[in-house]
Amino acid sequence: MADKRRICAPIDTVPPVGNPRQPCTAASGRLGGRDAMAVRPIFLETDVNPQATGSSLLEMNGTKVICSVYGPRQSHRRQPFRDTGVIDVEVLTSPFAGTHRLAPGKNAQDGELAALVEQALLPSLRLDTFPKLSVDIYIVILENGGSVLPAAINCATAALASAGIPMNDLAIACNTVSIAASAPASGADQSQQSLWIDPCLEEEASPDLAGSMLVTYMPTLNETSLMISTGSAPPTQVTEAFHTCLAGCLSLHKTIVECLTRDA
Amino acid sequence: MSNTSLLPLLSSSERQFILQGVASGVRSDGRGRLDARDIILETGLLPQANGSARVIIGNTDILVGIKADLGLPSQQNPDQGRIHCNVECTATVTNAVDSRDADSDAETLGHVITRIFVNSGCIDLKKLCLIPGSVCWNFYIDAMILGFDGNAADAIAQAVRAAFSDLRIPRVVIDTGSTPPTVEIDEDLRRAFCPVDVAALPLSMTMWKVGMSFLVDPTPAEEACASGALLVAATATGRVCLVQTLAGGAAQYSESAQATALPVPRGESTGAQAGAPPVAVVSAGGMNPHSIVDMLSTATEIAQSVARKQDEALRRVAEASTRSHGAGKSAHFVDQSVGFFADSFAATSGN
Repeated sequence: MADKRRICAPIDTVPPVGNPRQPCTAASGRLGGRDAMAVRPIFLETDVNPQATGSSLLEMNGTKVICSVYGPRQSHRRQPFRDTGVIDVEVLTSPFAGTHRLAPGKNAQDGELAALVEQALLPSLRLDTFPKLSVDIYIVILENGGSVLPAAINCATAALASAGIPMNDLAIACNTVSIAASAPASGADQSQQSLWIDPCLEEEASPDLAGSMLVTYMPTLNETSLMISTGSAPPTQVTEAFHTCLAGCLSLHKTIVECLTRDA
Repeated sequence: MSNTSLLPLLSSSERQFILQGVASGVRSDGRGRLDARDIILETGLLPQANGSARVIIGNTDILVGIKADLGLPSQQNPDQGRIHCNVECTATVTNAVDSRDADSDAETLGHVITRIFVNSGCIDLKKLCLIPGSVCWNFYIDAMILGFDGNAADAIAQAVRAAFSDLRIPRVVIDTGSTPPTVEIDEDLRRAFCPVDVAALPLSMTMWKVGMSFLVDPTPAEEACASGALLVAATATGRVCLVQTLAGGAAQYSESAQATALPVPRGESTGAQAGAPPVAVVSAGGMNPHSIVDMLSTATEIAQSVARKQDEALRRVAEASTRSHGAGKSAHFVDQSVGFFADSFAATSGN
C-alpha cells in the first residue's frame, strides 16, 4: 500500500477546493443541454508515436486517451502452447486524470479496464495470422472526462488499424447511462427511464443513475464482442439500452473510419 | 482470456466431436443443450465466518465465506457500507504455466461477482452505514474455487447468494449522545440478524455459445470450445441485474480465430453496412446482436426460476438446521445438503 519510492503526502489529506463539478440529475438534464442521443465530438489522430508500430490519440471533450501498439513480436509472458497469437493489453491511468489524484503506478481498476479492453478487441483480430507472437497494446488515460472504457477501446482499435495488424473489423464501443426520473428503488414505472449516450463525468456521477450499458460492436461482422449492462432493470429496458448503444456504435464507426482513411 | 488457465487444451478432433455433438443437441455427458446439472448446496460450514456456503455442480466445488467487520466508509460514499468481493483460484485446480494467469482469471470472476451483487444495487448499502463518515459495516466476500468442472461464474453466484442467506451480524447500539458518537456491539449472537434481503438478490445464468448454438452449464471441454458466453444475472422477480459477455476458450485455436464466411439466404439482411458482401461472417468470440437479445430473455427466465428454486432449497436448509440445532450458523450437518434439479429448463429451450 505505502509507496516507499516516492515522498508521499500525509495519509489524511483532502483537496483544498471541493469538487466544482456538480453531478447532473434527472431534473437538470444533460450537461450543457446535450441531446440524449448526441455523442461528444471526436478528435482522433493516428501515428502520434513514431516509436510504436501504430498509435492513436483520441479526445472526446474532457476524455483524452493515447494508445500505442507494438508488434507482432516475441511474447514476453510464459504461456502454455497455443497456435494463435495473443494480445497483451496494459492500461495506465495518469495520476492527474480524475478529480482525485491517483497513486502513481498501476492500480486495481487499470487491471480491470485492461481485461475488458482485451475482451472487446480479441474477436476483431486475426490471431491466426501471427501464431505464438504477441501484439502489445499500451493505453494511457491522460484525462478522465467520463466514458473512459469505450474511449480506450476505440483508441486501441484505431491504433491496431494504423499498425496494420490483420483485423476482421473495427471494434467500436459506445456506452449509455440510464437515468431514472424517480428514485430507482421504486422502479415500477418503465416510462420514466431516459437513456443518455456517451455520458461525461458529471452524468456518470448522477445520483439518479439507474444503470449503465457498454457495447462493443463490429459493424461489418454484425457482431458484439463485449457487452456489460449493470444496474437493476426489467429486460425490456436492457434491450432498449442495447439498441441505443448499437446505434451509437454505428455513428462512431462512421467517424472513426473517416479519420483512419484520412490519416492513411 | 476468461478462465483459460482452467480449461483443458483440446485436439482438433476432440473439438470437432464436441462441436458436432452440441450442433445436433447431444452433449458428451448425455445432457441436452439447456439441461443443467444438479446443484448441491450447503450453508453454515465455516464457524469463523459470519456467513458461508458451498456449492457443488459436478466436480465444480465453490466455497464462499463472508466476513463482516466495522470500518471507515469510503470518501466517495460516506453514507454507505462497503462490500468487497474476491475470488481465489486454488493452485490445485489450474493448469496455468504462470500463476499470474490464474490470478487474473480469478480477478475477472471477482469483478463479475462485484457487478452482480454490489453494482446492481440489490443490496442497500446505506443500511450498512452506522455513523455516516466514520463507521460502517464492511463485508468481505471470499470465494474459493476448490474444484473446477465448468460453469464457475454461475456456481460462485449461487454460493455467494446462499452465503448471504447464512450471514449473521451482531446488533449494534449507536450512542449519538457522546461526541464523537460511539458504536457498541451486542455480543449476544442469538440476537444476530441477517442484514440483507436474500430474496431480492440475483442469480446468474450463463449461456455459452458453442458453434452456432447456445448451451447452459458447460463442462470444461465445452467451455474450451465456446467462442463466448452471455452471463445474465436476474432476481426471482425478473429484474436484470447484470448482462455481460464472457470470453470462451475457442480464441486460442487457429481455426476458430479466422472469420468464417457463411452464405446468407436470399432476402435476409445481415444488418451490415451497405456495400458489404452478401455473406454472414462469424468470428471467434463475437455474438450476433439478435441472438444476444434472444438469449437475454431466455437466460432471464432461467435465472428467475433457478433463483426461486434456490430460495426453496435455502428454506429447507434453514428448516433442517432449526430442527436439529436450536438456531444459528454454527450448525454444520451433512444432511443440510439439498440437491435441486433445474428441470424446467427444457420448457424454455429457444435455440
